[in-house]
Amino acid sequence: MRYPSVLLFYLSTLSYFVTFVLYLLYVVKPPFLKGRGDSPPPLGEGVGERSFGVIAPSISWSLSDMAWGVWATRALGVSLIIATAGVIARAMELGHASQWVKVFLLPLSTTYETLTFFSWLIPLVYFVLERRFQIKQVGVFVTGAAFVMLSVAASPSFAPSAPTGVPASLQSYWLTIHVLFMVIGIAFFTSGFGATLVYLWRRYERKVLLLAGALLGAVVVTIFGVIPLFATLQPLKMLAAGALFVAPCAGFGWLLLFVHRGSQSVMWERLESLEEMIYRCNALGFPFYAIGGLVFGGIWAEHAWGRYWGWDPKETAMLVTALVYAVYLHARLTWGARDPGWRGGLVAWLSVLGYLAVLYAWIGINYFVASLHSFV
Amino acid sequence: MSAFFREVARDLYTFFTSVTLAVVLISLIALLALVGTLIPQETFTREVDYIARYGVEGYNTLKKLQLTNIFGSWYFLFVMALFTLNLSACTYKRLIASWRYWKLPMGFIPPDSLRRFEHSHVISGPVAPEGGPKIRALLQRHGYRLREQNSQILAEKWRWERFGIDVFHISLLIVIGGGLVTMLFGYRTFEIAHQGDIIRLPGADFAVRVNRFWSENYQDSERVMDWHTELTVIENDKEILTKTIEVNAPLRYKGYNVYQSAFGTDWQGAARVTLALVRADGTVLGEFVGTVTDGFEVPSENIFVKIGAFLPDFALTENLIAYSRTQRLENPAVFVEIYDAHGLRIMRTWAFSRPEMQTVWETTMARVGGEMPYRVKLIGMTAPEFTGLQITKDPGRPVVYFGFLLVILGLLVHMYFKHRQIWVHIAENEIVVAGTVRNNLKSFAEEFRRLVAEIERLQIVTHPEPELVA
Ligand code: HEM
Repeated sequence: MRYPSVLLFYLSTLSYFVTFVLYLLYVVKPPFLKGRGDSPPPLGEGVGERSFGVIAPSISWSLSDMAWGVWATRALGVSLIIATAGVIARAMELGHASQWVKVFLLPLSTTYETLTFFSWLIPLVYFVLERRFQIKQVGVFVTGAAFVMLSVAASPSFAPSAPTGVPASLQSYWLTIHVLFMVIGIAFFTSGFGATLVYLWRRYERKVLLLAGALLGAVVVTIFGVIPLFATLQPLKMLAAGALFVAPCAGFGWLLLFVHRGSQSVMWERLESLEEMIYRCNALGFPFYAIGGLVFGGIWAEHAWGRYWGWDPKETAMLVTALVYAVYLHARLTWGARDPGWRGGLVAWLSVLGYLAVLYAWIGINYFVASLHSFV
Repeated sequence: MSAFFREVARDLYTFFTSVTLAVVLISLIALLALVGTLIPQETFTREVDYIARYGVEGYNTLKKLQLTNIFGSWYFLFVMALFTLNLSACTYKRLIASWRYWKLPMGFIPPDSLRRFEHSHVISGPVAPEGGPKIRALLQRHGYRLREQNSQILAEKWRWERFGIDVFHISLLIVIGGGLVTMLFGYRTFEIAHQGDIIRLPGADFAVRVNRFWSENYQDSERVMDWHTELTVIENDKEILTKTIEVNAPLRYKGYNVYQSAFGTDWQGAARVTLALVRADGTVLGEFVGTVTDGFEVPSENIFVKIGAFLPDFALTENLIAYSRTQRLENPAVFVEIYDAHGLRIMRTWAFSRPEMQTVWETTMARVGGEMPYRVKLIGMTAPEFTGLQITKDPGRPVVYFGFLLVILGLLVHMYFKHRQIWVHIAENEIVVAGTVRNNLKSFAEEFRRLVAEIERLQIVTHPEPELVA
């Protein structure tokens, strides 16, 4: 094959899939696998001991369950090695195709390249976070996402094979700095979102389906009801659209209140370290995302287009995302994440909202408006 | 009266320092910005594109609601103003709190209270006399600054990080301020230039000449590698400097910046078209060449043919305004007016190069019953290349960049440094260690445990009996 990177990315697609399955087995613990898997880690090395005081629940899990987690982490390590090789290979191929016009070029100039790059960096950041927080359930989401991204990248519509020369607008080392920071930010947010999902499940159990359903309903009503109604551009209908937008939001708020009123007190010790992981991920991701987007993006835009801020749809969407996370951070600070009531719950849902904004700014916006950023 | 005002002032202060207000305002800004991503904004959208998309009435509604320029609308600016007030008030309040915190020294805490800390550990057993100095050396090695009070070691590091978030919030104000300066005193324009053009910049005592411009392809490829324009700065009739600019590498001179921002064929500004003229009775008059906004005479008929406009990609809006959908040569059309010897207009029409468009147009015109003494066909077109230059002057730039610097500094300090305090109480028969960290992170437990383990390894207690106080 002429392009080793393509082969490597196919391999890592497979590898992420296997990793995903292992994480899934670890989380679901199907009865037919009980007692199998690797031997338990030696005493003193287990999850509970190593992260003394960080997480308690692991103590109650049986050792063979833990073994699946150990295998999953190993598989993740292998996937990361393959993906790293792929990204390096791609960078070389791209540099060659571009005749090495600028030295600091990461492979980020087509959708294929950004997707494969993301599928390398996001799990990498998660790998570090997993070692720190020892919460492995999040791996299901992260490796699943990496697998999906790679599968999309491998689809024929993104023409995975040949690297082409980098377009003039991207020939700047600011591209590398700007995108690298943003991707690291997104990677933290992704891990944070995965943790949020686990947290929400533990906090609400089955009721989370109700709440998530309500949120999904609100989003669907907004996309298929509010926006088209607003787009009729008749003042009365626009007003109605506003009202229709308020309704699902209020409905969701009411449901949240209702759920909290009916439930017994939250078992906080089961949630504390998870909540902290969400907070740390979002709080660590925020500087990368905000600095990468606002500052480095601004400096680059000034170099290329003569203005650091122009309300271009993509950059505006990035701002919206940063603002949602700012709201999350402030809400957590004032209302307290440890609030067992609806406010503590709302903080977690704000984290979900933040990730929806990430997805909008990263992918969704490309389907709404033409902008200067016409690549991912 | 003054008491009343003081009370109002206090209420206002409370209102504007509330973080809940911040949450509400930031959410509002986010919501408005979201709407601004869904509706194209007029800074980069042509009127005809709006009409093509929303219709005339819709466009007028959008305009009336200021949704086509949402970031300049009164309501957005109002929210921004409130937010700026809010941010200033908060920053001020928190700055005072940070200052108080900075001034507040660590103090002696009785060992019984230390035991109740979330991160706390007791090592019991007779303590060797060199225990104190050893622990202090250890803590210093970890970067802690030490004081001592009543045989208690007070160790801390990174107290200054408390100011990080203040610096960050102030930096946001600075960036907003810099943006305001740019908006008020800045200047930007887009120029289409041909070879040899001299561009004069308003307010500048120099001009810029376009010497030449070219594009460069990748080897053995159709892909453009870069566009270049060679510019010469001319001041007092003297050539000062010559620089070749390219995308991502502008010319900067005396506060002005010239960017390579577009490149292409100047169809709409300077197309040269070849038209075939036929009299209504079928007599062929021949082919003629003319330029946009100019025209040519046809001596045999004693008429003047004026070329009004050239659109490379003709389209009509719902209220029948012709516009060019793209700048590519997809559906070229030329607007032609024909005048007689007295300067009276005899007819006007669009001429197309795509035959089916020509047919459609002619049948329509025939149905409307317009006077058509001649038939015009577009049979050839060329246009000069142009280089598109973005020219700016931006006095707010240093301010914004300074703000950017503080954004980075403030955020990094706030997120990656957390003020830590450690108390080590050394008694005759036990050592009590306790610690805190800003935000009281659970993950501090790990670091604390490692520190305690290191202290235990110093072996200053003869029979250590580790005991953890949760
Ligand atoms: C878009 C604007 C803003 C952004 C991006 C922003 C960002 C941040 C960030 C990232 C933090 C750190 C949070 C954490 O460590 O968890 C923070 C803290 C804080 N912000 Fe803001 N902020 C903004 C506006 C405001 C406003 C308007 C107020 C005034 C009410 C405010 C008041 C505070 C306060 C009091 C803290 C607490 C710091 C602490 O004690 O740790 N912020 N802000």
